[in-house]
Amino acid sequence: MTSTEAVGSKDTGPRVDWANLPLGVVLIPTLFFVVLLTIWELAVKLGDVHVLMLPAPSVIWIKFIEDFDILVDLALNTGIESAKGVLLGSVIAIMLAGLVHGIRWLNQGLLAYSSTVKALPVVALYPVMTVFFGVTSKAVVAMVCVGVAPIMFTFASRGFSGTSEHDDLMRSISAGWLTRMTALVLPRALPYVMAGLRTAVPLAIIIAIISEYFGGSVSTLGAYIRRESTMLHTVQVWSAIVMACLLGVLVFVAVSLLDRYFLRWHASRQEA
Amino acid sequence: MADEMGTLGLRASGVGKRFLSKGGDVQALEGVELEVAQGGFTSVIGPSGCGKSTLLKAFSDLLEPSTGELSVNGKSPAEARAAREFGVVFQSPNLLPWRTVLRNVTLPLQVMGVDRPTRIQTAHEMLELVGLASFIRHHPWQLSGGMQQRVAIARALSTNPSVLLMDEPFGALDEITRDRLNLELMRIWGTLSATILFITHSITEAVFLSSQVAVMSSRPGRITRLIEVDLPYPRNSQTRDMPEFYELVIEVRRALVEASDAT
Repeated sequence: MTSTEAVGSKDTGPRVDWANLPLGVVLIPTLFFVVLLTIWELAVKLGDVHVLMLPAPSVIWIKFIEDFDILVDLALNTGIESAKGVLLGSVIAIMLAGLVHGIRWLNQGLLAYSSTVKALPVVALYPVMTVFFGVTSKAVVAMVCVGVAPIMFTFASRGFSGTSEHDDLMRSISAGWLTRMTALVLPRALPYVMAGLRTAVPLAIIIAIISEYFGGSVSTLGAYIRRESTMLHTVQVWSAIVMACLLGVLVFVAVSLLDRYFLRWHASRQEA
Repeated sequence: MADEMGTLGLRASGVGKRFLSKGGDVQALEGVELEVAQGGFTSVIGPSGCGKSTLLKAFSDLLEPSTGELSVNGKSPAEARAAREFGVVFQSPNLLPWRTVLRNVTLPLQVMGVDRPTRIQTAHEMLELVGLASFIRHHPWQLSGGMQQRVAIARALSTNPSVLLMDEPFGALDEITRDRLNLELMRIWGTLSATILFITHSITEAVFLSSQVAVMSSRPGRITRLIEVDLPYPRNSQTRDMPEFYELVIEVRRALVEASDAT
């Protein structure tokens, strides 16, 4: 109940911190957004920029509303592909990290491998994936999986490597392997897994859209953007970008909610 | 392994522990002799780093002594652990933060394969005993340090062990809370008749609780004196006002000074 041990800095000074007030958190970015859109709109209108070069926000918005049903469908497919990739990559990575934790050399070796894959621009692997899976949705899922797995492995392995006095507790009550895993090791790794997901999930959306752009299932955001851009449908491209942004935000909120639910016991999530 | 004259609650004979480290080996314990009768309450007191926690860890089978032998109810620590002869209360409450108070207390029973209704029933009784029955749905972070340590005691008692090993359980608490928990512990011990080994660095705490105080010196850690505390049980807040209490506090303090002078 005390806030003294809570993690995270808090402004306790007498000065009112507008930026951290709930209103400020919403108000300031909104103002920024409105100003930006106004400048954009005016620049396009006054500068007489051609719609194929840069459409005005109002034009994009109208198209976005007009095509909303189609765009939601596309985003849904992209979202499902990403989700499958994240799920597959995370399960593989967490299981692998769980299996090799305790085997130091193997863990180190896999960590080095993870770092290498993380440094690799994953898109470069797309042609390889199409060899395996053809120009299909599966290739996109595989790409997301390859991008997500090393991130999740790094975080999960950090989570599993932790030790605490709880290990002594488990030994003192003669807990078996299964209890040790479910009651201690997995929950103790959970904050790391959630941190991994916060990094991996937005990346998964990006990888999915880029992979779709190069090929892959037809009715997805990436494929739509490519098709419309080759036909010089700039407004359609922009409306798809707006939808991609929305998808990204939605997914971010979803992960944050999951985080809040699963880690409600965690020190850093305590209500002050 | 049974002792000759009936079974002792706890026994250490010739126990030594050497830790190997880069900056030179450390002799944490040397020739430790200790006997605690069944149902007895013995405190081990000594300066920080004298190896008193190491001794408790050896009794609870969390580390192997380099030399000597230990027994808990006549069994080796490993056998005793497997037979759930003892419960451990750690320095920190050591609760699992993702589990509610109830599920923290049921954990040892879950490990033993006790069925759910019995588990919950027992946990209720134990939490009742430590006065936290109304906090079963709380998470550890919602409790104060003293309450958390009471949950830890309830957890250690849940398997109904005949021996309780307590490693400076109230060391991190303020003095007022500590005094209150000492009274609580006396009340609980009175209803349980368990053997207790209690590690502490508080002289008054050691005298107030124990029937026997073992004074340790550091480097190497050895028991230099055993002081019998013949204050009457049950002990309560009046016990602290007795002149005999003060005499014993002075005696333990002298023994501690002598122990540190000897090295």
